[in-house]
Amino acid sequence: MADPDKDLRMNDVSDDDLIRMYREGDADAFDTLFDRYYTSVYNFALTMLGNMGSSEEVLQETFLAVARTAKTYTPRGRFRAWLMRIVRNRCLNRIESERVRRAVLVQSGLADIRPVANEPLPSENLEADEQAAIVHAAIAALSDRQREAMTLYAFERMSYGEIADVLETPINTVKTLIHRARASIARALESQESER
Amino acid sequence: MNCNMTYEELAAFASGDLDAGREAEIRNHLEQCDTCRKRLEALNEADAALRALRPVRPPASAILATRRALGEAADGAGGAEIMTLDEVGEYLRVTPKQLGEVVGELPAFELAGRIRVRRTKLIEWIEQRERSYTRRAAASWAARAVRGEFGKGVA
Repeated sequence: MADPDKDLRMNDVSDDDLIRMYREGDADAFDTLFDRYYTSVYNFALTMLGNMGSSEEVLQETFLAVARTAKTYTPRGRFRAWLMRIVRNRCLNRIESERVRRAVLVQSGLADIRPVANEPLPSENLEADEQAAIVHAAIAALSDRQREAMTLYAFERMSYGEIADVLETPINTVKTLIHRARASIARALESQESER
Repeated sequence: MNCNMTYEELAAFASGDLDAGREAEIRNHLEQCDTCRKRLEALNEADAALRALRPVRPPASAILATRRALGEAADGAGGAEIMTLDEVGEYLRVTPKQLGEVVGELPAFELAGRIRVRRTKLIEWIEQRERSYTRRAAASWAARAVRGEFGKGVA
């Protein structure tokens, strides 16, 4: 982008306005959305899939889908939830494909590859800090649903309502998922304390 | 002391998600229960640790690759939105005969006796097929596996 002032101005523009501008042909508006959310998209995919390569593919697929379907987005101040729902659906498709593929391979005696999901996060993501490492490990050990909800809660600082929107689940279910996940993480920290 | 309080309820208490009555009961309980006080401490510690977490950034190569793909998609939109059947065949990389086998399923419309397809509809159609592919392929592979076709050069 040739105009640095425009970059700065774009930082204050709301997601919905950026989408409107993009629809009207402003490619820079899309760049701003991309810069704003590529880490969120990748991080969410990584927590769901536990695999860097697949998460990079989901990153790319997601933004291509956003570019293609921007016209269908209804601007109601919920762009981030809409975006994360796309990420989630892409990840769920991959998890399902992998599950079916593995079932077939196991049945045919060709199983040799570890599942995409449930691999531990790569070690370079673990903070040196021991407590953060425990928290990361505890998040990785949560059920899939709890981990999804916790990722949106902890990394994205989403409200219960927004999380419910992404997971297409009632708010009370989201609260239960988050409370259980926080309890599991606290238990992990507590048992670490008692081992000292 | 004998305590029936669940960790989950304490978590709800710690984040202020309980009604005032239950919250007051738990406050009273905490004054008497060491176990729950320790748990609440662990929960506060967990919440602080969660607030300190930073998301993992994608590698620079992945950011670049995505930018490039977005650029190509924008240019490639260069292909017109309305496609002829020849263009659809070329896009899908199938021969006209192969395209003929699925032409009835395409999201097409007729205009002055010609069949035309909207590029965006075509992409949605491909995505639908991608979703149903897994199940159909799995069923067919499973059938072949049962027949022992794998490992005999048939697969």
